[in-house]
Amino acid sequence: MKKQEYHLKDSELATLDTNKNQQALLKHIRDCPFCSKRLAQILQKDILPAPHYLKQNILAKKQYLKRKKQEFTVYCIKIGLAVAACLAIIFLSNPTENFSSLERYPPKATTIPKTIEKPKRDLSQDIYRGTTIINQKIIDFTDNLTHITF
Amino acid sequence: MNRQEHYFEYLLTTYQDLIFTLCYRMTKDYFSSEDLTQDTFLSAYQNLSKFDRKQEKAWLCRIATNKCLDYLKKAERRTTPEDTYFEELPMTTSSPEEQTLEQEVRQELFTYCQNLPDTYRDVATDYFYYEKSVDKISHDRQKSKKTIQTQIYRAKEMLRKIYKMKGGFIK
Repeated sequence: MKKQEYHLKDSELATLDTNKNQQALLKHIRDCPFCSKRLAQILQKDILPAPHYLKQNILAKKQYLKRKKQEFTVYCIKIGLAVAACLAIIFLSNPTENFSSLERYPPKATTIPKTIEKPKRDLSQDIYRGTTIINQKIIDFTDNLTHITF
Repeated sequence: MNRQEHYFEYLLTTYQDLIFTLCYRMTKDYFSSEDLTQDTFLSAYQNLSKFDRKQEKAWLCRIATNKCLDYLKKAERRTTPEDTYFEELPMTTSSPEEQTLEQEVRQELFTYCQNLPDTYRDVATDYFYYEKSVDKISHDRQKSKKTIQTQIYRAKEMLRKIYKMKGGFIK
């Protein structure tokens, strides 16, 4: 047997603001599109104009929240790219080669070399060059993102 | 502005009075109704992509009803403040049966604006009752726009307190 749907009476909807069980009735209206539509029809018989500034305030607040959401998204992307860049530097720079060169040419405690050999590969220069390129790419990408209109 | 933005603005223009009426009927507080109406439309905006665009009125009313429910639950938990200044302000509206809702609300708003301190009384009456813009009030009163905005903000806070005191939830 199909369960009969319960709906509020017109008298209950009309006196909703003074009803003792107001909250219970509101909970029903919240969950029932049919009663919600009937309530709207009853309220339209005696409508109260909204304040003249309300529409502008709502639109301004909506724009503000949208802008905040965009800024947060851009910030998250920047953080993500920075983490990816750090991981890339760690795994792609391959520092073990320089340590093996130290093993081949260990400094002698008793003799002072007359000339100092230039290292075959300068790790700090590699890191500097790499981070500069990656930073520039991140800045260009995020600049492009902020110009995208949603 | 894309289609969603246009649609939202259409909903706001068409139904703001209805939602404001619903919120006022539930809360009997002019400025809380304003806040609840704002919250309703912002919630509607956030969920607009999930809405099937059928029965807009019922959908917005359900969101507004939910906001009013949350407000009423919070109001029940609110403690009674100690000062009674605002409670003692005179209330000169006639009974609801003799006036439409709009007349009753406007009369009440006018009365409360008139009971504000001198500095805020005229500005509040011009802005909230006569619905003049900030620019017009600033021009008429020969004061800067910033000063008028500050006075309106403070007057609004005082009026909020009055409405909360006069409302049926704080005994």
